Amino acid sequence: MSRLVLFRSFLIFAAVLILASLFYLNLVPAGRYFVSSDFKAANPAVSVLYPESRVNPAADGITVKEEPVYFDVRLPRKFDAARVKIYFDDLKTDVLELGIEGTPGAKNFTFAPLKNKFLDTLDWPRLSDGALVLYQRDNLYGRLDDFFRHLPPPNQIAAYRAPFSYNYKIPGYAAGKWPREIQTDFLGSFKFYTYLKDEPLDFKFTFKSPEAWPAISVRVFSGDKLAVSRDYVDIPAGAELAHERTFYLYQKNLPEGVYRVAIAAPPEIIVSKIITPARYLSFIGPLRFSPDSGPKNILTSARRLYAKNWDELSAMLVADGKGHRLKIPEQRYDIEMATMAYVLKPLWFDHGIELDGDGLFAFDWLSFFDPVIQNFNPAVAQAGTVNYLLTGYQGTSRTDGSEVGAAVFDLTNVSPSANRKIRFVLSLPGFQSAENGVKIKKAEIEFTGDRVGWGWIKNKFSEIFKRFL
Amino acid sequence: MDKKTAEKIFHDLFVWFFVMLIILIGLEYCFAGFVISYINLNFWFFAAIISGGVYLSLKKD
Repeated sequence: MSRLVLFRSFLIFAAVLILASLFYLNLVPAGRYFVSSDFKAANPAVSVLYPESRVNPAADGITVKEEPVYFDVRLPRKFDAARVKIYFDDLKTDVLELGIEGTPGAKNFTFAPLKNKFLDTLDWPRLSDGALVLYQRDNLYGRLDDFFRHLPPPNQIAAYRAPFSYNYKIPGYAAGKWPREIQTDFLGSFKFYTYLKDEPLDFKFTFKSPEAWPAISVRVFSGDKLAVSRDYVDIPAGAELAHERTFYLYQKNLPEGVYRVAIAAPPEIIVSKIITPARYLSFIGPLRFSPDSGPKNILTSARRLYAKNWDELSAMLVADGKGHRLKIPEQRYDIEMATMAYVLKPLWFDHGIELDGDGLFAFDWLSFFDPVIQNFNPAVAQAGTVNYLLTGYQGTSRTDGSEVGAAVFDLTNVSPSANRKIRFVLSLPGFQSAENGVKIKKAEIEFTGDRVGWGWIKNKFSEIFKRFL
Repeated sequence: MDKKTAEKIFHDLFVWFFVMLIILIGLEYCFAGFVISYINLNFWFFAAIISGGVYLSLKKD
């Protein structure tokens, strides 16, 4: 064989080898893909921290002088989970968090804590199962399993970046039989919680529109899952415009539990009344009451209330339980309720205002229920109403003179961009000035997903066949 | 190695780098990051130019 033939064979063999290894590297057959970066220069897998105006390169890391900062990671294929380790130093804020974007460009980040100085110094007894940590004010539970078997009422629990959903059940609940009418006079969109057990989801909403009937949509969620979806778009225009219209929301065979109903309507639409046999209805702020609505009595569990006036007429609000009238200006007006306890407090106002707060609202005492777990902040722990804190934060460790914070993300609902990148964000809640920054030294990310075997190949082929047949 | 063989080798090298470059750019175009995550395309580009240049200079002589 001549030397030239040998050389040509070598070139063909090298080409096959290079292409085969590229396919192998992109397929990641073992299902584990590891990347790391010190962010000093972009590498093909991990970008630098950007925007670059928010960071300063330093000898031993990158100083973040403004937040948030982002970085992208290019993925060879789809993975199910990412375990991220961030090596950092000189954290001046109390909290450092890492987020991952769910949809490219949508900025819908899911956050996980890397460092929380308040939790590091919280002296409550602590239980952990590796993924979830429970802090308890009184050491009542010996194991996390016991806590989940005998859950305390939700208003005693606060959650901070915790992979936990509260399966709220009302003991001895019996379905409501008789429909009742609630004069709501809401403007535009609103949301509420209701509870169902052996009964249909049954609501009649009466809408008024001064000018036109745009699309109105109703979405009903059970936890994070969409349970019912309705769009009312077939509303005839013309002569009927001035009339009220009633829309029915009816769905049978929904399992027992809490449902969050979200009505999306433009602000010119007035939802004048709701008729329903549902026993429990707790409204979620903000609630915007029409300027035409008369005086109203409602109840709230909020400890801090925010009110805003709609028009030139001055609105009066009685919120302190003692009959003292507050004049509500057009700007946001913060009201600290007379009692900080987590109890229902009556509110009265003379005409339409916007109300919001750190609690829920109801139109009568019997229909109020609170299935919401509060988001944790240091004030919640100090206020004394929360006795249990659930968090995914595991604390940090120290390696090579750096503090290491770790976070795990579920990637099943994360869509990479067209160039197969996913975006992370480093956030410093409480950041005020460049002196509050942090020095980022390194990131290590391990992605895990399906191993490539015969089952995986068969599934891929069947997906391709389904798409074409 | 005689000049004729060297000329053939550099011709083959040029064709090989050029064809590989086209294939790699095509793969990168179809699957973003497929190639550039692992291979520096600048190297292939310059290798194709250099081998082509050497081949042409040998041929000229």
